[in-house]
Amino acid sequence: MAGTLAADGLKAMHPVHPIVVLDYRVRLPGMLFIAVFAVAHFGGRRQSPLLVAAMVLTALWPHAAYLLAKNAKDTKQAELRNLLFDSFIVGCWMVAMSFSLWPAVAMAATIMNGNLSVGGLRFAGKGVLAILAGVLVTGAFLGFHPVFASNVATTALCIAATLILTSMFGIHSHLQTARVYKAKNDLAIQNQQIQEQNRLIEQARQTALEARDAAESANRAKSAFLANMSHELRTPLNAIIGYSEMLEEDARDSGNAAFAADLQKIRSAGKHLLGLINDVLDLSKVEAGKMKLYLETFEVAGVVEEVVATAQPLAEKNGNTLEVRCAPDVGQLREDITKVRQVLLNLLSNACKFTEKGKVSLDVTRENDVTGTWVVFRVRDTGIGMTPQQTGKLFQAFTQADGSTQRKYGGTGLGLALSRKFCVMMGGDINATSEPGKGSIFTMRLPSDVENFDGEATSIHRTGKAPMPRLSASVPRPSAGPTMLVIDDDPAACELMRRVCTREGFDVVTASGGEEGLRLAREKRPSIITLDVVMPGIDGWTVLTKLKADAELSAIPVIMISISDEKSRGLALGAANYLVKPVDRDRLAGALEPYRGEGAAVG
Amino acid sequence: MARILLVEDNEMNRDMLSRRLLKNGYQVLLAVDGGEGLAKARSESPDLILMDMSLPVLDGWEATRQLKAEAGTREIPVIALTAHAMTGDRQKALLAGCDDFDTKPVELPRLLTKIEALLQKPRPPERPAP
Repeated sequence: MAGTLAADGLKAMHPVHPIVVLDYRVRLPGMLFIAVFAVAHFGGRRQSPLLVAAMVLTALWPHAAYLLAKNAKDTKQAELRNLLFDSFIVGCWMVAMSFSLWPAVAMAATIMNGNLSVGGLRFAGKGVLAILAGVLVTGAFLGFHPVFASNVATTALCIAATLILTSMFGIHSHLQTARVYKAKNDLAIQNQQIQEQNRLIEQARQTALEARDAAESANRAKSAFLANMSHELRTPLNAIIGYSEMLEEDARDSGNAAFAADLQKIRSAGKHLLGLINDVLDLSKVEAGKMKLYLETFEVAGVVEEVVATAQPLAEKNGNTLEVRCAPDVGQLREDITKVRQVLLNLLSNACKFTEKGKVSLDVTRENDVTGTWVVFRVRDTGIGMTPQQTGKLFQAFTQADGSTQRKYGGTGLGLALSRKFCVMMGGDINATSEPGKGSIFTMRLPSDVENFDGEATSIHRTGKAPMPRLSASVPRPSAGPTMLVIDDDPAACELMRRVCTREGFDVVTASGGEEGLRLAREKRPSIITLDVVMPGIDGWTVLTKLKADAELSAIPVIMISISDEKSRGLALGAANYLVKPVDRDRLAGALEPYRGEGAAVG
Repeated sequence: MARILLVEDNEMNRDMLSRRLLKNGYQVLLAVDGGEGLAKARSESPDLILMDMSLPVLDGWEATRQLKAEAGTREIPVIALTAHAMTGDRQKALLAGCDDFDTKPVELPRLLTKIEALLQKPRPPERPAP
């Protein structure tokens, strides 16, 4: 019975305090002993109904106490209440057994031991009060008839009960201590295991770091080799192209058409080869993470017109018609114009190459969706098309639709791989859909302003990895750009600098004189300072000298801007750069390039 | 007749470009490195300089910077020639003070257009055509 209930308790839904189980195990024999004392004490004498009721309570109470405590919200508090009731019962029995010395000592010692070990000193005090309550209540019914002596059987039983019950507490406490020690040892072992695992993880991390370094240096070596080799290949190729072009001109001038045609073939083959070498170089740069974006704002229609003019002869060569539809609202793009041009030309020339006597069309539109504003270029052709398998491999480097395509149409298969990489760098992408025999559609999507693309583009040239377009793309960038201090006494010049540099991604602060400039430099701690030389009051040279003499400001790069060219003087005094007025936007942008922060800098 | 100083270390490129310029009616002066280019620019005062950027002794970037820093040579327009059409090179060239930029291999008609544009202007344009 005890085992079942205890096991039940351990399995209870909410945790049952261990003293509930311990007390149950002690209370069960304890109450039994008390009942036996009573029988031994009273011997064969006739029992009063009150004593019978008390015997019944003794038989039921341990189980009731256990269930009460187990199902209580706070199992420990409930069990303490049970112990007080135990104490009360003990008080009752002491009176009922006429204060017989041994039963009284056995019962009091055991319950006090239990109260002390479970609830501590204060609780034991409450226990004493409970015993007294039991004594008074029972005394009121039965009266006090103290007979301190007890018979031999009762005495023997009391001694046995005292020993057994108190030793149960002792054993329990011993087991608890043993359990604490075991837990401590287990913890130490686990700790050791964790340390060992940490060591292994650290080792693995080191190995991985070394492997990464090795891979990076191998990749750098590869890129350097490719870049170098491309250069070496290009030099003789330049001669081939140049001389064939010259001879072609001469041949035409002297009316030798056959020579001219052959020379033209040499030249165009040379140019083709040059294009391939450039593709290899570009791809190796992208893969080495060295490809940079040079952003500028430009009219989309202008670029489209340029590219179409270049693609027109290619279309005519295969008897294709080229249709261009550029939406009137397409507006401007802020992107790397060279790369946009290159990708667009690649798409159009592919379409022309794989289409004969058909139609190639280009549609340019501006589209809005949740991710922002996009400029979409759609190139459709009515050419040979591709199977889904071929489309799948389309954008992988060194892969063409299949080997036979390579033989028939030429090319390295780098063009589309490169195009996609460029688009991804620019925050966009290219996709293709196609049907064999019907034609293909290539769609290039570019964000209308790659800079508002959350600075993702910045990380590209470092990692060479593709950024994922983010939902926040449409959220305007907060003006968290690097701070730039413009010191110039001419308000018009200040305003011009503010306009241009804000567009370049700087948070611009202006000062109209040297004193103010120095004060703002100390207050704002700008990332860069532009400094006019000729100013009333303290001039630019003095300001520069003071800036460089101040330990806290000396690290801020200063770009001198002046009408007179005294570059060497500026550099000698510690200026980072020197521009001569009037400064055009490109030159200024170039000079500011190294100081543009993460938010805006691309390249 | 306009006099053009061609600074180019590669013999074949130099030969090719100079012959084609001659044929198109220009007078051509030659220099094989940045140092010589600088010296000839000072002594001969050509009407225009075609400057290769990867040159021995003194590279094209530095030679241009020095030319643009001197009062006597500042006004001579300089067209930078680089090997590969990288936008970065263009910005770098303009930053160094070049007036225009072209890539090798030279497409002669395009280069001639740029030369003519610079020769006809009284002073270097603020925003050269790309």
